[in-house]
This record gives sequence, C-alpha cells and structure tokens, in this order.
Amino acid sequence: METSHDQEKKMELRRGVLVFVVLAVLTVIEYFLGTHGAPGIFLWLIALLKAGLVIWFYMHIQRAFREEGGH
Amino acid sequence: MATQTSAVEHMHSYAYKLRTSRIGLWLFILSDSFVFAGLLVTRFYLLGGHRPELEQMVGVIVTSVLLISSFFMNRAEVEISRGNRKGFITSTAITMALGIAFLIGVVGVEWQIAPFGPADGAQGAVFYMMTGMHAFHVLTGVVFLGIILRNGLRGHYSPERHWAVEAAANYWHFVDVVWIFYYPALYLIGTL
Amino acid sequence: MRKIFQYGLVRGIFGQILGMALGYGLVTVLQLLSGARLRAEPAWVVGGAFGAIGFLIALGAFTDWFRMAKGENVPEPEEIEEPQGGKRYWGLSYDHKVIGVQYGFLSLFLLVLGGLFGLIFRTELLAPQLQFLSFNLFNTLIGLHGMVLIASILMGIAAISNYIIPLLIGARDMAFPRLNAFSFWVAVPGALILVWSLALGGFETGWTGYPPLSIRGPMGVQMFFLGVWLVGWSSILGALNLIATILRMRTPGMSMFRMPILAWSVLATSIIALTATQLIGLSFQLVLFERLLGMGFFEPSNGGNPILFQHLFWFYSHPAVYIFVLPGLGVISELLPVFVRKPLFGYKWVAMSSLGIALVGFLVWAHHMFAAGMEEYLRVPFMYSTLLVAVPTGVKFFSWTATIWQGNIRLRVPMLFILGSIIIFLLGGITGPMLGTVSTDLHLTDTYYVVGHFHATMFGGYIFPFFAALYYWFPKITGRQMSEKLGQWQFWLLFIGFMVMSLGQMRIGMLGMRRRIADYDPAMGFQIPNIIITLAGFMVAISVLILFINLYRSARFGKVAVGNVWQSRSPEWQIPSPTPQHNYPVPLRVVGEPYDYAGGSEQYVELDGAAPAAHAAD
Repeated sequence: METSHDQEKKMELRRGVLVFVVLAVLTVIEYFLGTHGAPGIFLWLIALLKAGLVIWFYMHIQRAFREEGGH
Repeated sequence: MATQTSAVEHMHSYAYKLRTSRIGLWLFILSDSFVFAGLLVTRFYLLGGHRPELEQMVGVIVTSVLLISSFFMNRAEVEISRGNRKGFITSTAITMALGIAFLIGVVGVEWQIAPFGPADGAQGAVFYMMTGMHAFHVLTGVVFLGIILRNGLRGHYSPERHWAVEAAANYWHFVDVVWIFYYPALYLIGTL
Repeated sequence: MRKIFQYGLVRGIFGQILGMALGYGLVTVLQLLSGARLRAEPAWVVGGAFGAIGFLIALGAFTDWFRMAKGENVPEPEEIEEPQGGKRYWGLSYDHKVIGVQYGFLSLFLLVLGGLFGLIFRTELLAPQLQFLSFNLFNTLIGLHGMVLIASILMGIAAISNYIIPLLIGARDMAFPRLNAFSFWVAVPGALILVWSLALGGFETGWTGYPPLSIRGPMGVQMFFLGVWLVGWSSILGALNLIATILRMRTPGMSMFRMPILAWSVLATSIIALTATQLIGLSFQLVLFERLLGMGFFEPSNGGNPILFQHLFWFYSHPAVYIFVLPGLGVISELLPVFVRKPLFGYKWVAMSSLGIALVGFLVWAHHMFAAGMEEYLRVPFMYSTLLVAVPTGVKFFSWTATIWQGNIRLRVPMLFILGSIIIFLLGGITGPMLGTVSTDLHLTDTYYVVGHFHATMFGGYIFPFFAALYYWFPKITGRQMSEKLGQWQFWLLFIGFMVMSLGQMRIGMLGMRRRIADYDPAMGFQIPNIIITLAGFMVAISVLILFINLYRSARFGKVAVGNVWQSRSPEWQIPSPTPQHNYPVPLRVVGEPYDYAGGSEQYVELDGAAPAAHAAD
C-alpha cells in the first residue's frame, strides 16, 4: 500500500515536469506568434489552453468536486 | 438514527473540513478573478488594438520566471504530500526566490525603463494598474510562501495535513494564471 | 478607562484614529523628505486605509490569523466557549447569532443615519431656491443618503442570513466563523470612513461617483470610495461564507430541494455579491488612483473614457439591486406559507427563479446608460435582457398569489408587512418596463420618476420584508414577542406614507422634475407636490421611530415567547427561544417537506430525543 502511494506521488512529480514542458513550449510559440504579428485570436487560444493546464494539473480544481477528502 | 450520528461526525472530520476550505478558496479565487477580468476589459476598452511600448525581452524573461516558479510550487506541494520535507523546503525556497525575481523584473526594471509614466495617457494608466495589481498579488503570495516556508522548517506540515501549503500553492498558481492572460494582453496582442 | 477598553468597538475606534494619524503622518513626512508639494489628499487616503487596518488590529480580528501564521495552534471555532452576556455584542465574537445581531444593529444605525440625510434634503426641497443647505452639501447629502442606505441594506440582509441560515439548515455555525467575524467588523470602519467624507468637503457626484466630476470635486469623494470599498469587501467575504455554508453545512439528509426557500434566495444573492461587487470596488479604485496619480482612465483629455466607468460601475450596481431584493423576496416566500397555512406553491420554480434573476441580472447593466452616449448598438439587446427579468420575477408573484389563494390567512404583523411588500414590489415592478424600454426611458431618465420607481422596489423588496423578518424572528432572538399594536401602527403609517411619497415622486417626475436638483422653478408648479412628498417622508420616519420604540419596549417588557409562537414547521421554532448557545441539542433529521402545512407529512424535521418545543407549549 505504501509503495502504491509512493509510486503515485512519483508519477505526480513526473507529470509536473511534463506539464511544465508543454507550458514552456506554448509560451515560446506564443512569443514567436506575438512578435511576428499573428492575429490575436491565436494568442487568446494559447492563453486559454495554458490557463486550463495550470488550473487542472497544478491547482487541481477537480479536488473541489471530489467527495472523499485527503491531499 | 445511527447513520445520522455518523454522518454528523463525518462533518467534523478533517477530510470534510478540508474540502469546505478548498471550496472557500476557490470562491475567493473566482471573486478575485473578476477584478483582473475588469482590468483586462479596461485595457481593451481604452487601448483596443494598440499595445503599450514595452521591452519584449523583459516581458519574456519575467513570464518564464513566473512559469518556472509555478513548476517549483507544484513540486513543493507534491513533495510535502509524499513526506519529503527537505524537497518541500528547497522547492518552496526556489519558488519564493523566483517570485521576488519576478517582482524585481516588473517593478524594478520594466517600470523604470518604460517610456511613459502612470499619468501619461491611457496606456500608462492601463499598464501600471494591471502590472501593479498583479504585482500586489505576487507580493502577498510571496508573504504566504514565507509563512509556509517558516512553518515548514519547524516541521508543522505532514503528508496528511498541509492545507496551508495547498492553499498557498493554489493562490500562487492563480497569480500565474492571471499573468498567462496579462502577458499577451500587454506585450503581444495589438500593434504599437 | 481600562474598563472601557474591554469593549472591542471602543478599542477598534481608538485603533482607527491611531492608524489614521499614523498613515497621515507617514505620507506627510515622506512628502516633506522628498521635497514634493504637500498634498493633503494622499495623506488622507493612506490615513483612511491605515485607520481601517488599525481598527481591525485593535479589535483583535487578526489575532488568530497572526497566530496561525506563526504556526501556533488555535482552537477550532466551535470548541470556543464564549462567555454569555450582553458585552459580547460589542466586541469580536465568532457565534453566528451574535454576528447576526451585530449586523442588525449596524444596519438599523445606518438606516437611521441615511434616513436622516434624506429628511434633511427633503426639508430643503419644501420650497424653491436654497433655504439652509449649500449646493455642495445638498449633493453630498443625496450621495450619502444613497450609499449609507445601500450599506444599511447590505448589513440588513447579512443580519438575516447570518442569524437565520445556519438555523434553517441545521448547522451549528457558519462554515468559516473567523472570516464571518472579519466580514462584519471590516464594515464598521468602512461605514465610519464613508461618513468621514462629510468632514473632508463632501462630494458632488451623488452615490454613483461618475467621473469626470468625481475626478475634479472636493476630496471627500476619496473617503466615499474607500468606505464603499471596505463595505464591499464585507459583502464579498460574507457572501463567500454563506455559499460555503449552504453548500457544506446542511444537516445530513437535507437535500438542496428540501432546504427552506430562504436559503435558495440567499444562495442566489451571494453568487452575485461574491463576484459582481469586485467591479464597483475596481471602478472606484481606478478613480481613486486617477485622482492620486493622474492616471488617465476616465478623463478624456488624458486619453480616458468616462463611459468605461459606467460599464464597470453598473456591472455591479445593477445586479446590486437583486442582491438587495432577493433575500427580501425569499423572506416573503418563507413566511407566506406559515401565515396562510398552505404549502408554498411551486417550490422548485421559486428556487430556480432566484437563480434565474441572479443570472439574468448579470446581463442587464447597460440599461442605466441608454442616455449616457454609450455604443448605440448595445441599446436594444440590453432592453430585451432587462425586460427578461420580469419572467423569473413573475414566477415569484404567481407563486405568492397561488399560495395565498384560498388560504387561511392570519393577519398578524409579519403577515401585514408581507402583504405590503408584495403590493409595493408590484408597484415597483410594473413601473420598471417604462425605464427598461429605450424609447420611454429617454424621456424619463434622470427624473423623479426613476426615484419613485427605485424606492418602490427597495421598499417592497427589502424594507418591508426586513421589517416582517424582524417581527417574525424577534422572539427567536430575544425570547420576547413584539407588540402587535405598535406593529400595526408602524405598518399603516409606513404603508400609507410610502405610497404617497413614491406615487408623488413618480408623478412629479413625469411632469419633468429632475432628480438630484436642489432648486426648482416655482412656475413649474412643483412646490405643492414636493411638500406632500416631504410630509410623506416624515410619516415614513415616524413609522421607523415607532419601530424603535417597539423594539426597545418589547425587548424589555414584551410578552415572553413560549415555544412555537407562529406554529411554524421550520426547524428554528422547534427549539426554545432565545436560541440556545449551540443551536440544536442533537442533529436535525429531515423527515418531511418544509411547507407541507396542508397535511401529508406530519413534520419537516425531527430532533431525536429532544422534546419538540412546539407541542410542549401548545
């Protein structure tokens, strides 16, 4: 039991890295698009995607809807 | 009758209260995001397709700093929840340092080199108010981080009980989410 | 001297004065050191902000949070045994019942204050030209009349929700008791700062604080902004707490659709208050900074746009009227079944109509700006969304009439106020479409017709239900009943006085009398109607005076309330009055429908083991 909990946490660490990499790539794309005069709509879409990633994976909004507690 | 009593006891448990606190924090974040949304509306209402004259390099650096800080913030929370106190302390300290670096980048650099002051027309008003309001939130976030760092060093948090860490982390990520919208709105969208 | 500092309120005011002096001094010293021109305005603004913090620190509202931040253990709020007695009402308490009563006191105090401001300028309007006020003071008084009474209303609905909601849902307290105490106490320095604007030269803008006038006027407007901002935070945090309480603290087994209907209204109100209030705070904050730093948000000569302020401002200030009336409409729906002995008609529809009003309310703000020169294509969509509000509101009216229909009406004082509020809210409702429709609004905008319409919605949607709630729950709070005779006097004076006042205002407005004007042309024939309106206003004031006499006398000598005084099915009447310290001795068990007065289910809630107070008394 202890090990499965440990493994889950290790996976969370890895997921944190993965999400960060995606966010970083998106930011680079955003910067490139923005400095090359791309239409604003693309920047809005990227911003929404980034915000969604942070809210889901870093802020864990789903926890607020989960009945069983614990961290 | 017995089920009623146990259901009431459940309402006094840590897990139940934890979720109530989570909902409370999310409600606060919802409320606060209306302030930031109002400022975003102000920016597009007053400036429209025009964007303020800002140093792109500073913008992309502070944005990266805040993004990296969010990564370490998440790491700190996962570390405490798996009982690695040392990892938690390190990650929190890095987050805090990056937060301070962000503040220096915005207030100490961008505010000084911007070719306009707060009283110079709509772009000055919009730029200083948006970054100022956001910087104020970063500052309060740094204060919260300082609190959990200090209490973490004294060993106050355990994998089972660390609501303060989770709250500070969520607040920090929220401040990051705000910047995710503010960075393109100020630096990238529109023409000079 | 030391004894007086045991009262939290006294400590707080002392702390506020100290903080204000500190902030004022700090800014002045900084200005002197930097060699800048000495300006009193930033010093007063910072002084005001420091004063509010000083109040809260001296009161002790931060003490527990500081201790938590230092990592010390603080007790769970429900484990704290507060000393009983009257003194705790004057200081920090975490008990929702104490906080509810504190809100009530503050609300009534502000009601008197705002009413007095109204009487003063109504007296000035008895005759054309200026009698005893200056133009500036007249404008300050109309602005403060508006905002002080808005604060009073916010405190009043917080009083009802704080005291009653945890009782209705069978909770021991609110979800976050410390935050609850903070939300109340932050409003006290806020109200003081709001009134302090009188001392700093007042302000000329009325309660809306429109720029560019508010950018140029005397600096009293800064205190007005700061005070509203603090009261706004009180409202936001109170709403946050109420939402969390209603979602999380219901007794097990009470599903959302078995809650007493008032809880639904308060939930809907709180959703608006939680979110929209930030926008009035923001808009006032922007003007505050524009004045201090010359930022060009709203001043057209500096690149700003005053219409933007109106958008931000009305995004709160229109939904705000739904914040004010929804709890009142909830009180009507809550009390009607008790006094007509019939189930509430269409419970689910009434519950959903509250949410419907709240959601549609977010989409109607620009109908305040039809004549403001805003983007023309916005007019028609906002006209339709405005008229759409009539649909969920109509649901409530049909529910009330169907509930009263063939009911066994008991005309006790709360019921009188309920009937009065239905009639007056109807008057306010049917005078609204003329203002929501662009073509007619262009003629009626900025006239006394608007004043009459608005006061009808406020009296029907808040004042009358608030008084009904006061008469209804007074025995629960004090253990004594209020005098029916004085209550009837109050009701008839208020009802007749208000009707004359409001209809008089509407009529004079249709004839062309502008609102917010200190002087009028005698040739227009406005003097006689103005005299009538003012006299009716005094009638309203006398009725409130009777209420205070009644409150005082009944609290001391009133008939002792034994058991279930109104024969209600609601849980709070199944326990003794005044409410015991920890509300219910044992957890509530929901066994029936809340309003099933016609039969069917015997009871709504059951208290295991405890003898129901109702039947012991009958």
